[in-house]
Amino acid sequence: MRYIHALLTCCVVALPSSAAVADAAVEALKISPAEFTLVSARSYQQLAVTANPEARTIFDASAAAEFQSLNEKVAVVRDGIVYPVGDGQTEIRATLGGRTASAHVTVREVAKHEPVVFGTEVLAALTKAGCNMGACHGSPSGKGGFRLSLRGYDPELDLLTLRGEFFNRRSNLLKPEESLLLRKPLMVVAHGGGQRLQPNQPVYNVLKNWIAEGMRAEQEGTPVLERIKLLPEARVLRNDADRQQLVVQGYFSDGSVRDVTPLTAFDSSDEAVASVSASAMVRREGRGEATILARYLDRMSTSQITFLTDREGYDWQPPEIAESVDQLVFKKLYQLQIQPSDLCSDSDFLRRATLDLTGRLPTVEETTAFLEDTTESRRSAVIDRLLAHDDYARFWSLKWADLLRCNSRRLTSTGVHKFRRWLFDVVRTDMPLNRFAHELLTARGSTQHNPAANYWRASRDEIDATETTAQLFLGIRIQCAKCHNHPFEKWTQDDYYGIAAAFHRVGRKATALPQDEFIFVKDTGEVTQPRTGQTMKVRLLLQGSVDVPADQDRRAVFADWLTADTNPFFARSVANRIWGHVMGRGIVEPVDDFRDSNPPSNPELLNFLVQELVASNYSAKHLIRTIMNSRVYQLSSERNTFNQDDEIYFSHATTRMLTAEQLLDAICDVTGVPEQYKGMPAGTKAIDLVDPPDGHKFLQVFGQPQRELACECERSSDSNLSQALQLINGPVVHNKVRSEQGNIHRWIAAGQSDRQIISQLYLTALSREPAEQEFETALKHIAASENRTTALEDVAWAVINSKEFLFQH
Amino acid sequence: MHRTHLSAIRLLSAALVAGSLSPLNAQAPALDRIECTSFAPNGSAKLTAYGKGFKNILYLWTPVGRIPYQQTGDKPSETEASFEGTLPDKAVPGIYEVRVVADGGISAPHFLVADDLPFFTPTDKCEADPPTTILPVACCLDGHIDPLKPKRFGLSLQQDQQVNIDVFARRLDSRLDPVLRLLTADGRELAFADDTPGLSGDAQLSFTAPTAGTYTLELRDVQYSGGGTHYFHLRVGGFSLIQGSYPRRTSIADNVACVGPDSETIDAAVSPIGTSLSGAAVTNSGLGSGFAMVAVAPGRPALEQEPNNDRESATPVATDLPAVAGRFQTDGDIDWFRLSGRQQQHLCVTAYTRNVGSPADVVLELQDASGKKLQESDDSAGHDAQLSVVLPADGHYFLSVRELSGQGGGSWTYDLDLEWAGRTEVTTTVDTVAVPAGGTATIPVSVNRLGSSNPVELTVEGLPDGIVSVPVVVSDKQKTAFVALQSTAAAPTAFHHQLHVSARHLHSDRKTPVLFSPPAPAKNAPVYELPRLRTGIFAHAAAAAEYSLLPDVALVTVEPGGEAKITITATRTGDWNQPITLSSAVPAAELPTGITISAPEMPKTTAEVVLKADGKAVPGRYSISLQGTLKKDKTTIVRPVPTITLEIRTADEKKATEKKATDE
Repeated sequence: MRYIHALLTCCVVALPSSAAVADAAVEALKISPAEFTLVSARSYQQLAVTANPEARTIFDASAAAEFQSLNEKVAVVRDGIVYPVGDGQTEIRATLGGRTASAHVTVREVAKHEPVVFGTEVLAALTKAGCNMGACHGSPSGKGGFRLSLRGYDPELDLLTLRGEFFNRRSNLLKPEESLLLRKPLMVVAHGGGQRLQPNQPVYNVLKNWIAEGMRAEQEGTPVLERIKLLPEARVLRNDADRQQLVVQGYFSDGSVRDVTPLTAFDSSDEAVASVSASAMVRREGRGEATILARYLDRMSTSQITFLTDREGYDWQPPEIAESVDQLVFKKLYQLQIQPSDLCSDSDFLRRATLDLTGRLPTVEETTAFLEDTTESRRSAVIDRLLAHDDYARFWSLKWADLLRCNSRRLTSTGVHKFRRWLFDVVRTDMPLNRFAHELLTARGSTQHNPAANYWRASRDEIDATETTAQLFLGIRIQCAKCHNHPFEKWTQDDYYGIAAAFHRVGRKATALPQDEFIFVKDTGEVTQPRTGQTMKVRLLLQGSVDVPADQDRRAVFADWLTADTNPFFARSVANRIWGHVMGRGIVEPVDDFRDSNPPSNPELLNFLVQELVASNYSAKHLIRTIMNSRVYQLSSERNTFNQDDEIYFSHATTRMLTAEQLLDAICDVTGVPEQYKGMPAGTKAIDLVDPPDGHKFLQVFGQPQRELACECERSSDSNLSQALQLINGPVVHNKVRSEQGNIHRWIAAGQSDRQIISQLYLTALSREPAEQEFETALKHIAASENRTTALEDVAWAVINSKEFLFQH
Repeated sequence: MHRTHLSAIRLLSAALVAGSLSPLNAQAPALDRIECTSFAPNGSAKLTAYGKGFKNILYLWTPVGRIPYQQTGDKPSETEASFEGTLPDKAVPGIYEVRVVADGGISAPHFLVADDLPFFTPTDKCEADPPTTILPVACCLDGHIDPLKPKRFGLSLQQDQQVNIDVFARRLDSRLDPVLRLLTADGRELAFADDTPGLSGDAQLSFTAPTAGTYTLELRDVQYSGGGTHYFHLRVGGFSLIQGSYPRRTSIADNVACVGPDSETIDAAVSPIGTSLSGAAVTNSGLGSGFAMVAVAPGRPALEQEPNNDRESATPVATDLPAVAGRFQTDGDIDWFRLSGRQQQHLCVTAYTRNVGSPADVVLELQDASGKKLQESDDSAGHDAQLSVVLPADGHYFLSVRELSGQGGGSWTYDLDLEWAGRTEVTTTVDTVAVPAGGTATIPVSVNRLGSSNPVELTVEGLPDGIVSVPVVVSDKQKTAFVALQSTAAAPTAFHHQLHVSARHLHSDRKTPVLFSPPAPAKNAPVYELPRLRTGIFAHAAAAAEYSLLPDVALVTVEPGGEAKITITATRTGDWNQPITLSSAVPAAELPTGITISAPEMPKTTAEVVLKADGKAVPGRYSISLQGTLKKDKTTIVRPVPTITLEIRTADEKKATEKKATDE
């Protein structure tokens, strides 16, 4: 720990506080790619030139550099792109600021005609132009009588459509430039989608040449694109370095590597930080990190671009580091010149930790004892105590109950009780999370005798099970791939229906037990991929299809893969979900939406959490303990000048409104008036409800999920006017505050003074004593009122309506 | 049993009950629950029944004797009745079927635990938190749970003291789905039990106190529901926890293995409790007994022999063996049996699992010697699984038994009936029958045949004096039959009697009890059927019916091509003077081959029914069940005619019989 502290301190000393790129001399130049081959006259290569590649003053010099081909009979350079002229080899030189860099190019088979490849070029061109996107001709019904498969996921269908539909009226093989296919997107002919092409640009040329060549399908043996790589993979640009040329290299099955930049589509994960042009130029829009996603048909690659600006007055103050979580978070903050907040106060910590672990407010006794505790380990002691308490299991089982759709409409009134109880035991005993997932996925038998089997009661078919399982345990939203290959991700229909094949044979039948269902594995039943008609084998993502012996439960094969230590999804998904619950925001956010275009805000941190989770045998308690003992968790929610705008790097605690159940329970605790729920005994807390109660306005308004979706997003965290009305003059708050059985009346009856009652209120609601000014304000109000009881109720109402009460901070 | 068929007979019997028996049984007490302050084998019995329609209560019937009614208060209550007496020496711990018997009828059965633990009677409702009632560490108690009001009891335990807790609810037909929790004084949960395997939804747990102190035992419904039908019998002590027996069906006096929580077993002898139910008790001296309920079967089944997880190691089954039993020892266990059969033999295999308390859901598969699957069965209507196969050749056959979900454990047992000449199952949905003075009542039965076309004869045993019943022959075509009970002048004015109807298979002379087949369970009704596997039917006297019908002959003989005439006489009471339509009680299609019945309307007191036998009539003995239907305004009254025996004889047979009679 001390070592890391020292390391960070050294870094602060060693690195210059600011550097203006504009003023920086060019000390070195580098061309990328440094060596490449151009095959056929149609080939080309985009170059990226980097100045000072090893220095903090690094910047992209692609636009500024002057290029020269040493043999223009072999290759020429125009606008940073190398074109072939004749077979041979030569050198391309880039010069800037008196520095030179060179790349070696080999040109082959210039005289040989290389036809346009439909599968890898035409479809990519259509995709780049946006013709086959969901809002245009890629929609299920097409547009203007012209339908393409979404982003080219069905090449056979597209070829048929383009070549044969309406007697091929969209193309003119003799005069390709007269083809509707070109004239419409050029807006020479009216086009609802506007202008999508520019003449003589690569996309246009590909389409025109393909038509001219007779709109042919590719010949057998044509090399297939295996992967693409976006260069540079990561870059940190400071101050005036405000752009970066990207290059996309395509790797083909014949071993060739070709520039596919012009036909690649690009997206930025954060347009407020970085924008990206169609020609792969990234431009600074703001300060921070952005991931640029390159999509070439169903192949994807990303580049992490960081734009930094030195901040005036910024002086890194190395915080005390408690553990690896801190090292990794503070390393990132240091890199981004974000100063973390100070540690939160003890009372803030106690309230935060208690709410995070148990969903309730600390009791007055807990608060008093903690605030009087002067031991250094008091915070970790609280974490341990709460983790060992049943209240932790009550609250965290609620989270799982939400996600696992524990509602009586799906599971019956008996089922929700039994399933919730099982979840309680899972959390209480700290069942390894991989075992938990395995038990759910392979559950069988009576849903009453084996409540885990309710997973299969909530999921009624393999489609639901596929989407639910992927989102819950892989952190992937794979729904799109049901109808077409995922437009923004690598997941295909084969992946989707391959997972479904693992879940197709789940049988369900009624038993003689009331409200019971029996889950079993059938020995027949196959899933057919709807587009290809192919019978699907069980498919494990990134691994491929597997043969499952006939007598084996296919779910078990999937579950074994899912929960193995080597699985690339499960531990990441779960660790991120836990981090998100504790910290108020996932490292990947939303927590169940992992994708290349939504990268983690701190990959090293996520990796560390994954390692911790796996090493602890998937102990949720261990991971929570690790996170909560970090300084990062215990940072104040008050921001400073240098983390004002940080929302994703955890430089301060994330304030968030109490959830519906937390809030209602907290109001009950403060007022001393419990809520009554139909079908539940007196004193039941909202976090213990096994089923969202019908018609409970307060809980609904504050976003309690109905448990119909396996998505964290079902719990609404949006503020709205109804919430304000509920708090200001809603019946729940009003009746509880005014109740004669409530705390105010009780304390008055016990002879407590106004000051004592105000103190009790603050301790109960905010886990702290009131400040003297707060005392004064409250006492003044009471003194000015005719009715002491009503005045004290007013004070309670005011406390309940304070942000400090309503928010976790 | 085929559902449609079963439904038909239920409808038919419902019509009969609605039309004729219901008014006669209108005063039958309706029971909600019975709570015992004592119900000890070989000891005192002190109970209170709760319900409605309690009028002129006589006694509490138990399989081992009557417990007399004790009036409490100045006048009898219509909702509460107390009984006090003793249970005889032969009584053993277990679940007992009991009924409240009143002048006006007999209640539906209720199930109680006869317990050798001391009964505890709380002085409050045991709902306070923390509990105000401390339970002795060895005790049992009866009670019921009100909605949203868990029961809470204190348990004072020494450090390391172990206590076993077992709650009976579902096993007693209670609506309570019980959950047990043990908590520290400050509310921290230390133990929890729900749906213990083998207990049909009930719960039991074993707890060792980590420190000396008072712990809270909480008992509640899993979803906090409650009411008078949510009753329970709670046991606390050092007795052995039992989760079922192996086998679960066997003969009286046999030994079974009582299965404990960790699949450990203790052998215990099977003692009779009722005619169809017995108990196997493991008694620990001074600590009370743990017990399992066992269904009475004619003989001991052969037990599977592990390893038998494949065909090669299949457990051999002797030819014509009537029953085998086994259990799924571990998850994924499959048991194989090797059978030897003959061509055209009709093999029926019937599984008993959930209905006798096992958590298993079996799948049966029969293969021939080459491994070809002949039949597979998961669920069969009315049974867990059932195979019915005509064997294609002489030779070996292999029967595999597996748990549908692949689960296993000590209590995951199964029992199989093996029948080698098809199966004839005779059941009734009637539980009580009111016999009107001077009249006739009938017990409708349903006959379900699987590969068996042989006739059966139904006889009644245990008839009270003055009540007669003619054996009923059920022919191969018949799916429904009616056993008539006729009240003669010698019948007492009041009686309450348990009868048993038996089916004698005429081809083999084998006798099997007619089982009670409960109507389709009501929503949320428990499914533990073991206590309900009963054969007894209660008959009691009733006032004279609106009318009664009597034939002039009990036996008629006809030759093929001939006919017989029967005069039916009606005795009417009150102003039930409307015409009576006579008809066959069974559908025409189920009458013996070649027989038709011509039944006219009876305007006043007599009518003549003609039985015709055409040339296709097959000689033999048959039973004819007739009935009358009277309509008055919107009321329809259906009354039976006592069974008429029909003999179809050829002329030669007739002559020989007459000669024999003359000679004698």
